[in-house]
Amino acid sequence: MPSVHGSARHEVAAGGHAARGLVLGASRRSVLMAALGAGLASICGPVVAEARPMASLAAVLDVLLPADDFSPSASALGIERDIADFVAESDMMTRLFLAALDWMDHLADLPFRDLTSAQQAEVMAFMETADFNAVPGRFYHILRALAVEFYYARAEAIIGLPLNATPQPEGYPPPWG
Amino acid sequence: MGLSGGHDAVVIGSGAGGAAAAWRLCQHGMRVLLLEAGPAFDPARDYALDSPGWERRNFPVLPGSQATITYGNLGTLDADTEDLASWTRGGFPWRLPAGSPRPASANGYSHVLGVGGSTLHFVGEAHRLHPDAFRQRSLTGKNIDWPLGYTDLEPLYAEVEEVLGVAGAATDDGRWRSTAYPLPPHPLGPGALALQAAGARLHQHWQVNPHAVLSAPWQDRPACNYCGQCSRGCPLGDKGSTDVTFLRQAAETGRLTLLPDAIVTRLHAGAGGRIARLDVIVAGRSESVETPILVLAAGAVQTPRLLLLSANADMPDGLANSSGQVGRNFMETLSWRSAGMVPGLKGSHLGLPADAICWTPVPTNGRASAFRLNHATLEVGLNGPIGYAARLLPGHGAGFKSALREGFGSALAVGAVGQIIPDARSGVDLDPERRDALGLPVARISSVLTEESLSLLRQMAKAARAVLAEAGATLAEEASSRDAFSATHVFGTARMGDDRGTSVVDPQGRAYDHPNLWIADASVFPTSGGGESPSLTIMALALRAADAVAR
Repeated sequence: MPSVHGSARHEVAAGGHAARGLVLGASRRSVLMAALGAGLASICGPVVAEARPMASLAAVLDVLLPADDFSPSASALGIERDIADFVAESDMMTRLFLAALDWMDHLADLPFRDLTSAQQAEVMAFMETADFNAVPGRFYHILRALAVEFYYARAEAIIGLPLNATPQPEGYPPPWG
Repeated sequence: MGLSGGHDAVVIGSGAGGAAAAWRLCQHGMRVLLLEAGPAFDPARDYALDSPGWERRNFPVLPGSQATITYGNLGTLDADTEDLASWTRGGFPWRLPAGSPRPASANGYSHVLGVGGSTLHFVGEAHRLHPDAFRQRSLTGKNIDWPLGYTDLEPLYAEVEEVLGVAGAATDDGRWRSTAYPLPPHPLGPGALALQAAGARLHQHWQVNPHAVLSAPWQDRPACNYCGQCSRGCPLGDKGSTDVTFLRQAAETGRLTLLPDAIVTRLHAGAGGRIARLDVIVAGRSESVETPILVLAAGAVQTPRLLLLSANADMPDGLANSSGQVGRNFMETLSWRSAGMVPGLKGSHLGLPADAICWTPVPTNGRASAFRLNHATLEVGLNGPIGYAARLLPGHGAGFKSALREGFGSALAVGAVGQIIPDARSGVDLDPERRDALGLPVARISSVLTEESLSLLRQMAKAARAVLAEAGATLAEEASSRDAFSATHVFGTARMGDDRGTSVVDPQGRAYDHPNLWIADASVFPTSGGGESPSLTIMALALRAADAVAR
């Protein structure tokens, strides 16, 4: 794993250390505040739909919902744009997303999208079990919920499921056995 | 006929009660002006179940189709009821700590303002109240009795079922019938069959749940094709919402004038207490409408609000309120749900929502702790990939996608709805601060769960968990009234009784204080029943009131 750097984001990186199994003494609040602070410090006119955060968001989404034999990846369906539009409606949500994406991109020398699959998986595994009241954990669960909602709303995503693309007009008449 | 007169009666609200009353009044030869605060929905346009993304769309919200509601005292999340706290395997790992005020859910009081009212988003359960539900005080020493009984309503239930095209099975569980259901029962889906089999081993009697959804073509309406999305609006018209049943048949008499987007803002009482006229906003203009007969059917939240808004110098506490009971005795929907996954179960997402029901499955203290269980997999949204994946499956990545494909159709959910006894702190009043777009105070709901309600909730949870366990389910999600106010059925805020000192309306639904005012919605319910969905009873009571008007 590349080394964590950047003194201004030192405390934010608490999540990064923990992601690699290291234990730091930072409190939940300090991690949360540091993460928020680091994210906000890097934001001017905060929008997710700019090139860098969009690329980061797409990379995270493709770890959440990768392509497989049945259906395309989240980014192949442009789910990052759906989510960016949704997030843009809330200033708090925008700040959370930008803080978290910035945090993820500064865990190592390389941004998240350029980490190896194993490194990405390690970061995501940490986030999945992280405190919901801190940025990494909250971002993970909110992003996951949004990703699932926008992704599985697309007809391309439900290939392989025993469902019509839409409930009507065919419905699902019996027999069902 | 229009606002300027020519009508014999005015009805406010076109949901279950208002539509049924209007239909009956038209049958009696009366000319009816029906004022509906909300818009008219266009099923083909508004219930878009034939376009992708359907699962992201709930019942549509159109301009004016949702009332602004605020919430007062909803109680507190006590530590000693943490065993009833909501949780989810796949969703957010967070919940309010004990000691927090109980919030309203995102939907809160779930309702529709529009032509058809909340029948537009109901799933069509067509329940008769159990005969014992009318005699709670007599049977248990708790709560109160209704001033009428099952025998009084039975023929009216049968008439309503005929208009709606109710499909059901012969079993009655004490709800005896003078006639067969108009239509044969719907087949049970795979999830319901799993519960029926498991329930049988626990002596829970699961059976077909009667529905106002067509199991075969009826009159000029088509049969259901089991898309499973009743609560998102029925584009086929097979669900018996009032827009395609009572209102259409009333219109065919030529005696109904229906005005959507007509917001009644005030009732005016005249000599002898008669309601002389009302004020209504139509197309941005305030109009005055005479009310020879007035049937108020705006639901258990908006009905008391309008009565309270209409206070005057002679009646400073609101109209129809000499008893002081307007807005009091509010009863929410006491509900529970448990959901899990059953290895090997296939196709649980298929069938009719709430297709199977089990009445009071455990020994209880008489009807005072009555409740029902129902198959809820479709009703709670586990019949689509988003609901299933977001709530039941944790994790992410290729394994997550694969687990969805392999497990979809194995979810199994049980819902429970129980009787609720109103707490003295519960009620609907006028918010002292918040006003609507017209500058009028909005309705404020307070609803606190009593110890008895929480105890019943625990019984409901136990029964739901038991049948799921017997079916082989691994629990993955639970939610209940304990954690949030979330009510589709609300009752009691203008209750019916023999005693004008403790009741708002008499046994026919006529206001004690106003001889030409009738109330025909769930606000007249003295008790909530034992988990029955109320629409059939609201309609039967509305027919009874309309018959009394005509006499």
